[in-house]
Amino acid sequence: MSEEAQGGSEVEVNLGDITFDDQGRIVIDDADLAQSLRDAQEVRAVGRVGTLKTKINGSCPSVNNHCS
Amino acid sequence: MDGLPARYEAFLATDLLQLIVMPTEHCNFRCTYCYEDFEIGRMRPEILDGIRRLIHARMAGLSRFQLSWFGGEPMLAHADVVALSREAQRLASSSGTTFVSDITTNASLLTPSRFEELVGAGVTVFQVTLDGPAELHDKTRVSVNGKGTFTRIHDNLMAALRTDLHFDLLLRVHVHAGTRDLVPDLINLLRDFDDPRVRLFFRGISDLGGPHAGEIETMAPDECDALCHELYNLARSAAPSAQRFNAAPDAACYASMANSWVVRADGRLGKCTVALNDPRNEVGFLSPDGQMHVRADLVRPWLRGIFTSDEEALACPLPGLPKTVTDLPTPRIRTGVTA
Repeated sequence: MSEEAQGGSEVEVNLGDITFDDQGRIVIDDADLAQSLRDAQEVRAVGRVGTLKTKINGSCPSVNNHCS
Repeated sequence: MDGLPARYEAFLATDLLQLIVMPTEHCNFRCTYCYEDFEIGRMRPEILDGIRRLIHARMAGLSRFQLSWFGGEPMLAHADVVALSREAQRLASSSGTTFVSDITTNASLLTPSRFEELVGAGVTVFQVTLDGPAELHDKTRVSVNGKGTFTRIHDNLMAALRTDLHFDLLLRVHVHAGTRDLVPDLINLLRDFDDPRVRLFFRGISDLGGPHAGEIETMAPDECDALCHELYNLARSAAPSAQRFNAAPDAACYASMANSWVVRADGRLGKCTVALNDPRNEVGFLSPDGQMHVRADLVRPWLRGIFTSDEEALACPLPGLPKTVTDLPTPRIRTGVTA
């Protein structure tokens, strides 16, 4: 994680950290990233494909599951 | 990007699951523009067992489970569709999970008794395609014997709409150059679908590859959009109770999501229901014990839009995928997960 920016922080998202368990659930191997994603209130991409940066602002204790 | 957090959560959430199951890849139609090759037949019992076991293992941890039936023509495996849907419905009910199920069917086998059986099993969204009025439809949506199919489909849909069952009919009406000559006939046909359970979706025929690639006559996008717009306007007076299907402007494809999987009839796992012969879309397999053996290295590129906010990659991740499997990121397979 890098410095705070606009009330949030930047977290590098390396697609290589994404795996799946044997029931098809996503597993994010980077514990810091996984926690940041769980806490994310706002997520904005600041990078492009490759090693990506996702801007995460604040923290949100609730999980709202929106279905597509 | 407005709305991303909610979408972000939904696309990665482990308490949501969509399985798009192809219970058979055979079809009783031979539509002249179809991209499928029908080479894989009916799903073997052990693959159905694998799905059943997976559902049993996951259901308690799900807030929502979506079971989508696709093919081939899924109604050729009607008994399997009903049995598995019933089981999922029962499990979802006992675990407090929201269960939704849809089916993409040509409706030729959707007899009134089968239709009621499906709705009873929780399959309540039906996507059915017409290529226009009979004169047009019977030229392109033909049976495997080359015969027209309009009357049978229309009869089945009318019977469904005569019931008071709760369901949604997404009526996909294909538009092509010949449609313009028969607009009055088409609008007249739509009067039959004046029902609030109907959603009308006008869509140009696309060349999605497969055996007929390059031979499929498609309209220029602008011309097609104009005709669809005109048809929506005309449909408003012909079938005022019917809804207009609107894909949300920020709609994302299921292939972009980490919790949506295609289960092929032979047990292979995929992300996309179009690129069926593309090795980049063979992302693993489901074994009879219900375990998903996922090649994470092959799945990651499909999910890239979640992290890049790239609307195009979210709407259809296929075009930007690396061209060959060897170009994909270095595999990192977890213990117990095999390719």
